[in-house]
Amino acid sequence: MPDCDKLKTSFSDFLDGEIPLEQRKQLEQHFSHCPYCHEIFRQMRIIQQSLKKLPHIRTTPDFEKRLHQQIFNSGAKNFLVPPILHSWKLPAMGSAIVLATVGLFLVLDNSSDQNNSTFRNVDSQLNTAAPQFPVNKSTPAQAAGSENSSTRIQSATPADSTLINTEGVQQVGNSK
Amino acid sequence: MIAKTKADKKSSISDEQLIARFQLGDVQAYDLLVRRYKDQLLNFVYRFVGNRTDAEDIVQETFLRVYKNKHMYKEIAKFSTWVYTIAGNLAKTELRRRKRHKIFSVSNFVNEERDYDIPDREHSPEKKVDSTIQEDIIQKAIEKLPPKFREVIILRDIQGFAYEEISQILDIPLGTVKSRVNRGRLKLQEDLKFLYDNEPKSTA
Repeated sequence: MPDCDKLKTSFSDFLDGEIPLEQRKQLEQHFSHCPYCHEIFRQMRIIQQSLKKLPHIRTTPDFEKRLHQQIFNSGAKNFLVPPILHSWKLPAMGSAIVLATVGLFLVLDNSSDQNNSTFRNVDSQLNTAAPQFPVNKSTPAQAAGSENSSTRIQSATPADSTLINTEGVQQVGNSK
Repeated sequence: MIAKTKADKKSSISDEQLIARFQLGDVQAYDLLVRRYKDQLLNFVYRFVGNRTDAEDIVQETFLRVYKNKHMYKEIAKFSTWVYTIAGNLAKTELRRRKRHKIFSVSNFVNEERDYDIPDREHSPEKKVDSTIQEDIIQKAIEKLPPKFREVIILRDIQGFAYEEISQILDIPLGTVKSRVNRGRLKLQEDLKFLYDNEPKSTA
């Protein structure tokens, strides 16, 4: 039919429902007496539906991991760095604090090494000067538990405390 | 257009807001965009180049370019338009590369298989051809289309884009898009009619 090729240019619009009413009527009239065009249009519609039903494939599970690796390898800036750190000020301040802390620690550590012998002498002098514990009159069981100071303090009666350090506890008690 | 995931539907953040956040340095916004688009881009590219591995490489490259060129995106366009343009250009480059290296040869599968005798088990026109075989034949027919018809058919009939956005993605006039879609559909019908011949005409 002479009109067939011309009308074919409107088949897509008809399929999409984007065709003026008059043109639509013209096509429907044509289809009614042109089985050739009617069949083409029918198949176009089926193919369009088949295209919509084609299965959707998914990316492989490691897609994002590989992408991150590619970005990292490409040398892109700021990758895997939290946005808060993207500004130069915060990392700079953080680095300064870390450096200052490490520096202070090294200085203190160095000075403590130099004074170690002095501290040892002072310690020995203090130990000598410390009051001697009186002979413990507690039971062997109490003596064994004396290393656990917290338990000892919690369970101790005022009398027990007096036994431990006569001078100190009495001073505290007296101050009340 | 392909539906977004349920998680994304809940999110009220638009693609354009996410790319804006990414331009300010929010990498999490970038990751969210990747999650939103990776599968639909893969389907677009896969239907275009016909090879899954190549398609995934192209989608990877697409997102890499988005990362590197984030400041190239301007708010005047939708993010989907921008990212599809990148993917489409990369897919076309891949086809040209194949042509140069003669790796890719246009398949005559459809023409050769016109006498393919498939058992009509259930006497149903819709199930005349086993679905997997039919999908394969349709994919081959898509690949046989010239690229300029192929891309519009995929974007319109598989991905469900509006003509207007296809026009923006491909940077061609709206009338050209419609004309190419019509010609692409007619070409597909010509190549696939052996699948649907002798069916009842009641569906029209």
